[in-house]
Amino acid sequence: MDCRRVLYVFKREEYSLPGEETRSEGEVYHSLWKNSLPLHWRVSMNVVNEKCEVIRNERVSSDGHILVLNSRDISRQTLPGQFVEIGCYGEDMILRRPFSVFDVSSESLSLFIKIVGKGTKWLSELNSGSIVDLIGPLGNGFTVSSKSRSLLIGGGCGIASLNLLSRKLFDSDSNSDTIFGFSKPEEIPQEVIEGFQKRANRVLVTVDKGPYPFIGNVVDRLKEIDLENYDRFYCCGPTRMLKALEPFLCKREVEVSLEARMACGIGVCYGCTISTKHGSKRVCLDGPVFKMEEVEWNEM
Amino acid sequence: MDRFSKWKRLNGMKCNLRTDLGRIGILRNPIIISSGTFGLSKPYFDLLESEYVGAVVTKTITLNPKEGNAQPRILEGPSSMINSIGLENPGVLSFIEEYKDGYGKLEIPVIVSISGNSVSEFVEIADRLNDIDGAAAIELNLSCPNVDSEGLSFGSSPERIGNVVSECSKTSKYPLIAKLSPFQSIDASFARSAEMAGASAISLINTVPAMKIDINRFRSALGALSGGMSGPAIRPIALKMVYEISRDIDLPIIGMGGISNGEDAVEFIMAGATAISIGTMNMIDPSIPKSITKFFENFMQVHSLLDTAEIAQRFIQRNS
Ligand SMILES: Cc1cc2nc3c(=O)[nH]c(=O)nc-3n(C[C@H](O)[C@H](O)[C@H](O)COP(=O)(O)OP(=O)(O)OC[C@H]3O[C@@H](n4cnc5c(N)ncnc54)[C@H](O)[C@@H]3O)c2cc1C
Ligand SMILES: Cc1cc2nc3c(=O)[nH]c(=O)nc-3n(C[C@H](O)[C@H](O)[C@H](O)COP(=O)(O)O)c2cc1C
Ligand code: FES
Repeated sequence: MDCRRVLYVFKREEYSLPGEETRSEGEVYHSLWKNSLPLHWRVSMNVVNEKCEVIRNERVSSDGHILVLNSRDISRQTLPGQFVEIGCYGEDMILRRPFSVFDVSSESLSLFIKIVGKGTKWLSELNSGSIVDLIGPLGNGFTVSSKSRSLLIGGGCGIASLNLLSRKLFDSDSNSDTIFGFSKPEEIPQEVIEGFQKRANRVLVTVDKGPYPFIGNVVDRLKEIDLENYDRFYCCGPTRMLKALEPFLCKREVEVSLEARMACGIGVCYGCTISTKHGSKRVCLDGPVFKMEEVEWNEM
Repeated sequence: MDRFSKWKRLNGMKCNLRTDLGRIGILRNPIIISSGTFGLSKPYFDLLESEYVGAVVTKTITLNPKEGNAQPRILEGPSSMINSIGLENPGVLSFIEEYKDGYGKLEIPVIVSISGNSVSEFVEIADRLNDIDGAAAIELNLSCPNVDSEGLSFGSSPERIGNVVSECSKTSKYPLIAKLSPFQSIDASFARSAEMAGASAISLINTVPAMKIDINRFRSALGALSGGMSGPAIRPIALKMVYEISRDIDLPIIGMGGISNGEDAVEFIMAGATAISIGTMNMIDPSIPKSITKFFENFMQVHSLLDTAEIAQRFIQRNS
């Protein structure tokens, strides 16, 4: 049996009732609440539910795993910054878990998983051949413009969405530099950092607690850098880190990828909202990527 | 007709899932999507297999826009989730404005869920909803812990429930469904009062009041102090409530609470529900309406049953 299962996917013309004019894409994306039209959804795509087989599960740091899954429907459509929701099946787990897409190829999709609780532990222990249930691609993505100069700033598992972004920037002839922060040296995924080094001019890594050549947080390292060298900034990591970055970057073009606890991941339950200058928005549907200036940081 | 020939006859035909909800109408299928777990966002449309759904219930709409509670609003518990969304919604006027191009275009019957801070607020919303066309019914969310000027919640007594229902039914052109929760006592007086006041159906159950504490931070783990629990853990409570209330009243009952597969759905029909509704599990596995439909078809064929009412009848015969 084909292990992929594409659920009912609305084709564009099916949005209109018989005898009616086909509605435009903008109207199709109409969502009930005002101001909730996703920013970057000009790209036509469909969310699907796909069963994926685990091809590889590799430990890349003390608490980080890279899970490579075979996927056709989700991997082919995913933009950098988008995420998937994975069904985790273990004792007392019911909700799906959201993970950014770390990398894609035409036949596969990989995720970077940092073990923090029971769901991530369960995922880190999957063997090749296991089948996992994914919904995706979800949310909006980062804006990728060609021939730009960007600085990527990541903390912890924020490295996941920045990885695919850095590849897309590289492919579109853009220059990027990277700063990463981790809490301990053992948490640095060396292989992943080497990947970034191939695509970036400069990769700076810092840890909160040594031994390591640079100890401090990402804000400390940001101070070494001339921000005028960049047209764009992309940040992904714990909310605490993003909040600390805000005073330094607020006057610039910055996209931040946010995390929130999610139940549905598809914009239905209003579990994942944040306050923005344009009212309450859902991280899963209107985000996870927001413009830094749009977010009400003092309410985070 | 002997059992074998009845089976043979059935084997050649599709069993009938049409569900009669009385004044609300006939649904093609007894599966409803619960309030608060049905959105109108594109990803949901991509995943929804509408041919397996009998009706959908909107998120609860209030008179004025509501921002909802502080984050975090979602927690996971044992076989359950706890939410404290706090009825975030754009208010009835925006809802009406957007209805025509949104819910109004669905080919599935739409039930509009409403809630208010006072009887007059309920009535005002119901009145405004007379402007929209083609909704199937209004569901009165009577189980939210909203308090009115007297400091009591609507659900707190059968009289108050009866009062909301009768005032709304004087105003609304739509049939009304009263949605109750398990903290409204398990005896049937609340439901009976809604029935007497003119409700056309009863929805059972809303989430169960619950909380969780983050012991390391010495505070509640939810942004709001407490929330409502849903999911498989509450199913036995819901089932018992449906069972008790269906004995006592004649109205159709929409049973919900933790339904996650076909077996659960059949249990609710046996306990006395006319239709079943799926909340939490629908957000986790959007293919649930389809798998429940398939289960019903198979179950009814194996047991030679023509429609869902026969499922309930057979249960009653064996248990009376
Ligand atoms: C859009 C998005 C992208 C993400 N991308 C990645 C990624 O690429 N790699 C990665 O390692 N992690 C990522 N995360 C965080 C990841 O979802 C959580 O670490 C994970 O859900 C924790 O699950 P658990 O069962 O191990 O933890 P538990 O603490 O046992 O989880 C209990 C519940 O809390 C939720 N939860 C706990 N921590 C978080 C969190 N930080 N964010 C959201 N929900 C949480 C869980 O989903 C679950 O519902 C992302 C989160 C979001 C919202
Ligand atoms: C995230 C979430 C939001 C909900 N919002 C509403 C709501 O706005 N109005 C309402 O009447 N019920 C609401 N409910 C309750 C459900 O409609 C349903 O009664 C309850 O969850 C039990 O069913 P379940 O266990 O299948 O989820 C909500 C439930 C969840 C999980
Ligand atoms: S997680 Fe349900 S709306 Fe975002």
